[in-house]
Amino acid sequence: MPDNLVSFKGVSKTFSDGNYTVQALKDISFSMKPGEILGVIGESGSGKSTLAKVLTGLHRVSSGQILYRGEDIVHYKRAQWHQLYTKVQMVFQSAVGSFNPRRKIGPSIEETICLLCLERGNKAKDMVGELLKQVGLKESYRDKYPHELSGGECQRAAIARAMAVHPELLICDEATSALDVSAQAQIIELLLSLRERQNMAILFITHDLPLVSNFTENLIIMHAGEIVERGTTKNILENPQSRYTQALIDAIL
Amino acid sequence: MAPLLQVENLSAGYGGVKIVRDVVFNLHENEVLGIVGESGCGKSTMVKAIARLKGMNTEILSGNIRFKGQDLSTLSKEKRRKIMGEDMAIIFQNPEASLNPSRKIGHQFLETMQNHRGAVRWSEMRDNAAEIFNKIGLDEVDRILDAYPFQLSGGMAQRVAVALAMLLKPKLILADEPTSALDTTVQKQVVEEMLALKKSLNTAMIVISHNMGVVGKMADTIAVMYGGRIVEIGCKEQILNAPAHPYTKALLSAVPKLGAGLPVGLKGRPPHFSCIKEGCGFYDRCIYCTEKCASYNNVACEIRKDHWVLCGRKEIYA
Repeated sequence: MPDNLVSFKGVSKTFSDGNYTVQALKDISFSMKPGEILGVIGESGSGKSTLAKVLTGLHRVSSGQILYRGEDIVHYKRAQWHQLYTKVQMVFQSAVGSFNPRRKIGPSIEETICLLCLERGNKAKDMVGELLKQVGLKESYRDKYPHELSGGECQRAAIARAMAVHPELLICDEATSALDVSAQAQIIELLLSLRERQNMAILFITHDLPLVSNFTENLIIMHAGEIVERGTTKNILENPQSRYTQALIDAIL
Repeated sequence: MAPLLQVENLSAGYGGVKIVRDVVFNLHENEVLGIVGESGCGKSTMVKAIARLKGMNTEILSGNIRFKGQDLSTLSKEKRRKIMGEDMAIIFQNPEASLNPSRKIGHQFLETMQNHRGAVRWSEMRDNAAEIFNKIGLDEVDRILDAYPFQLSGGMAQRVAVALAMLLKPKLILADEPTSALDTTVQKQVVEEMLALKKSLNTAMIVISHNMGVVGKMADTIAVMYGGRIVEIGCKEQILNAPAHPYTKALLSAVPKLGAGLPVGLKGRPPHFSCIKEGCGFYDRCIYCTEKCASYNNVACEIRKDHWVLCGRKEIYA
């Protein structure tokens, strides 16, 4: 068994509409160990979300390799991606947007359980109750629609859905950016306690450096599609090497 | 000197639901008031009530809003229209929402000036715009005036929205999350530019932000809102360094700071406005709560000069 959970090797991604080309990822290489919390920091257009999307197969890479437990996932077929989603899950910034607005929370989570855990009927219903409890929501929330929940509650429901498969890796793309500071702190607390219990790795993508500085072990700083700095959180904060990292630290009000 | 804006016992809401409750504060010329609180505490509703944005169905249920001595709640539509833009202007979180997507920026500037100043020529508008653009770090005046909003980056569009609000040099700017949609480096620039602009034009501001850093940098006075009430108000230094209300303390401990350890969130969520009763609205989430708190009819208490707290348990901050 290889040591690394995820390795990016020289990954590039170019978007093009014929006359306009953007290189969203330029020769990205890094790796993540099982159970690690890695923070990815960057501003709009830095490529941080593209990074998450190529890792989950939502975009295909233009070149390079992405290894998951040593296996190259870049050329995966549909069924293989499906299999990967039982180990890798994602939580997005807009929790309300990640649920079907016309469906109650319970059935939405149940659908994931049916698809990925292959459980059905009462067993799946019981699992929904368990999952909601696990993220600190009452079981009665299964009968609510996404718009009836507050932002923080809806994000908890999205985390509950991601937890259905007991993922090895949870990717959070600006998962707390739309929340107020109090709800944000609650969600971080929840993610850390879930990680403790299930020993999952977390890839935490955000623009908020003060926030991630308090719970990640390692950081990647991205700018214009490139990794400008990488290292332990402590080293980066105490002794930033790149001018861009320094600018980010200086911009904290 | 009489305050620029006097808000007296203001209650406001939508569709019969009371959201803002008995809010009292004064704002002087050149002063910046920061408003903080969780989502759903009535911050934006209060600002909308002051601006009398009828389109958003904000109703004033009781109380007065005096701006430069006149009562805004009884003004006619025409008079209110004269004040908005000329003496008072709003900046929203999302610049796309304050700019018309189908008209060039220059036309929107011209329209604003013509509405208040009559027949204004393009060249006159351009001079005015150039003066403000210069102060807020926008070069290329003509390129921007000739552009559509979608042709600008987010930071630039927000600067343009700020410039449009400042165009007629109003006495009061209402800014609802003015920098929350911007990147951190751009946010810092825009905050500094807004402050410089405010200084040179002597504008007063009300700034809503969930970012305590932004409020700390911009505000002279900070008001903390919970459940539609102002639960604590005082000068910036006191609110940030010596908060008195249990809610302010809890809110500040949820703010992430570089390398300062994990932020601590409050349990639960703010109350629904339809079920707020008299008495302390925060009692069910408060760690200092006693049995009496739910029924206390709280009266704001001045614990230091100009530092007011709305909490019945005086022993915790006295």
